[in-house]
Amino acid sequence: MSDDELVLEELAQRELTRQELLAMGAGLVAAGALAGPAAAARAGGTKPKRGGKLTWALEQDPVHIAPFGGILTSNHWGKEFMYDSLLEWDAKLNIRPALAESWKVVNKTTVEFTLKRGIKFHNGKEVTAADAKYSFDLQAAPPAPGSVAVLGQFPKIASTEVIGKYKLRINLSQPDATLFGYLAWSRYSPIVPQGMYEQLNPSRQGIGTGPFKLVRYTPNDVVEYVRNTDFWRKGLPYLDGLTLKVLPDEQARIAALRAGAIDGATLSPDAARQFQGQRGFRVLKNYTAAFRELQFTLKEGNPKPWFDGRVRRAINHALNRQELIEKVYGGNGAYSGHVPPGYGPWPLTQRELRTKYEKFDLALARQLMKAAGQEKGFSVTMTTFSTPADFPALASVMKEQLKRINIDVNIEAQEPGTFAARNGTGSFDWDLTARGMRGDVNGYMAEFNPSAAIYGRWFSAYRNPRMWRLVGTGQIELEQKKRLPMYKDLQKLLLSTALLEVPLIAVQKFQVVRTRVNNMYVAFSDFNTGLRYTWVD
Amino acid sequence: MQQFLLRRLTLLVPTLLGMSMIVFLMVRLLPGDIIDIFTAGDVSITEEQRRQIKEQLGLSGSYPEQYWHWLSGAVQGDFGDSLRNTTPVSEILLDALPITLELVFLGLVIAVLVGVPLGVISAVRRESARDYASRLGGLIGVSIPNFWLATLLLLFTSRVFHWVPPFSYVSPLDDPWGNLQQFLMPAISISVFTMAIVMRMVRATMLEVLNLDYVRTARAKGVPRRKVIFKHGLRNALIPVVTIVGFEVGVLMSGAAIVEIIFGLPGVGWQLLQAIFNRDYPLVQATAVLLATIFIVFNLLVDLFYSVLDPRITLE
Repeated sequence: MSDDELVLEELAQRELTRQELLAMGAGLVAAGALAGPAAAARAGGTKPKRGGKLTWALEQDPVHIAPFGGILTSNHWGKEFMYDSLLEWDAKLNIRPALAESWKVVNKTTVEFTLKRGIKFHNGKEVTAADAKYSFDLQAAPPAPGSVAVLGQFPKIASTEVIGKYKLRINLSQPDATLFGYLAWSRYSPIVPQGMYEQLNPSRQGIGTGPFKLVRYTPNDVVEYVRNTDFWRKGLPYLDGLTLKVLPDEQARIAALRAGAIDGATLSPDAARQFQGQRGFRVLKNYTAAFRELQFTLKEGNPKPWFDGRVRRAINHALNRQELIEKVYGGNGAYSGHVPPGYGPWPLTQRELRTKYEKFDLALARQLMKAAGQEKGFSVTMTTFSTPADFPALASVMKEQLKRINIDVNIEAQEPGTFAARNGTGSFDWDLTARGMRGDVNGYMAEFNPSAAIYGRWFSAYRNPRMWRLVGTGQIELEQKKRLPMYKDLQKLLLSTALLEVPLIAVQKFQVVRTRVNNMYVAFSDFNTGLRYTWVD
Repeated sequence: MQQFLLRRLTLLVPTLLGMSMIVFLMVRLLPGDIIDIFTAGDVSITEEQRRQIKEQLGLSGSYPEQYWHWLSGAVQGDFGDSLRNTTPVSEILLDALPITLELVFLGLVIAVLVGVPLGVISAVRRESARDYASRLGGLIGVSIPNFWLATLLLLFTSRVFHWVPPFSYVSPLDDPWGNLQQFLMPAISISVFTMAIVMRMVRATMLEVLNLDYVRTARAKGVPRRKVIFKHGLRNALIPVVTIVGFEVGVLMSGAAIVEIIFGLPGVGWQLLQAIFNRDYPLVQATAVLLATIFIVFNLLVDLFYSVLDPRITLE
């Protein structure tokens, strides 16, 4: 089995069943093929069952469950079962219709969506294009408690028009391929009934089209849902009720799992290992988009040794990623490029990364340092997060590895707020950081666009017209097939020449469920999407 | 007495004002403001958008302007809205306060109900096995971090009895038994340190008091031993203990923050910790002022209680 197959095997832990695949339509059958025989075997014979309730622990309070402008991932954890968007991803992150029946690219700046007929909101009202327009208007200017801070994710939508009861036209201010991924991600793009913000308190209430209807949200305590009997995807959800209990303390989640007070939770790898092989529990794992990476600043007027591309390449090849995976993550990890493994068809293969672009080659690294006149090395401060604990641990192992090419790394662990402030202003030399989920592959490349404000703060001394061209054209090319080779080329360029950031490894997220819980999977997006399709014995 | 009360209540104002200023400045001087946290990881954010966020959050004025704006609202009972979810801060705290107060009250009751008798037994049976056991217990009590004990209790009951307290808050008015089940373990967790302190203090003061002349006289007069211990000894030994208990309310409240998180109790401490991490300035400020007020008022009550314990004490 190749490395890529291994990663895909991990992704197969999503445990979609044949029955569910059929229920969800042909698009997902293709995803079942990706998951391979492993998933099919695991699924074997278990028939979905209607009814029952499930309690899931959230490790962070949602803070609010407003549909638009939520900054935290946990905002979406609280609301994800209530809302749908026009599009959605299948298990392979292929885009497919959700509330929309179809869409047509009229020209480079106009896209028309046709909505499915007969879909009802939780209040019984039918979904129309007017609701979609209302929702897009709010996405463009998220009212409180949402924040305009999320507008960086909003595509270049100039306006929306209702051109029929079920037809919506989106006018873009410039060609923008990120539109489709933005809609499929659904994090910022739910469709709500027209006038909803005037009818209720969106912080704690909501009306959507999702599989569950909200009963109550009590901050720092609980989000309670009941089954939406009119859900547009027939046969789903299986559960009669879903309760999300906020339990930030990991030991409390472990105790609650053991006592049967909750049915599942996210745990750290070490905590999850306690449940491995234990009767009554199942450990699920999967890669998520949150890969780790080393980031440099190359700012004008402040030359540093790593301004020389050969030094950056030396660092890339001196880092033994396999050792990082073994020592810090107990073997649970994969090599990551600028696009993490598992993110649809976009990332480079594990083979490409392991044998070429991220190959551990100490001799080459030393040679490159010598060629750059840095044979004796230099000292540098690398800042990282103080928590979670894997960041300082990762930094320590990297420090040892970089010593071999005479780079003396001083590690400075910072509280997340402090780290975010310094990272955002570019007040650092090296940052050991992480990336998260993006709606479109362009999200992983946005900082390499010279027109982005952050480029000036991080990389003002770096010029690479080829890189700039690829970033720019990738964003405006609406045809996904044409975009794919562009982004592959861009990633290769970033890893062989630019190396403004050195991607390290993709880590796995662990969730433990009681055996009564069927069909749950660890979603790549870091959401708990599997609960939409879960049933209990 | 009235003068004493008036003076203490008047002093409350500059104390809270000074404290609110310090808290106001401290949360703002922390590196990384709420906008940094809001926009963390978003590489496409522009300066213009940062300015918009600042305006949206009402943070665009100077520090004195912001403080004045907050203070003028606070004196009218408006502590502003949470920057995270725009819920009025007073509403958040009103929901959370009963939980913390109940937890602290129960913790205090357990600490006193167990700590005082143990201290008395330890003093009366000095150098006996019971004394050694109590002192050892006291030593362990002051050494165990409450969050560790809380975790241990949870893991113990979940592993051995397959039981954990209900995690969703149950009001004592709706379900007193459910509420007690929910609060007993957290209350024990936060009470142990205070219990140990009370036990040690009662033992020390009792030993001192039991050797005083009036106690010896009482014994010589033939007053029953129990009466000597409890009426002449304990009552006089309690004054420094009451002082300590007053201070321990602060300890219990600070301990409550972590324990609330462990047991999933959405109290004031949990809110405060979250607000600090999120740089939710209005919530941090209001919570700090609220906790300080509770602390000061409780200590005022303790001072008033002195005269009840010892009629010779007059409050002027």
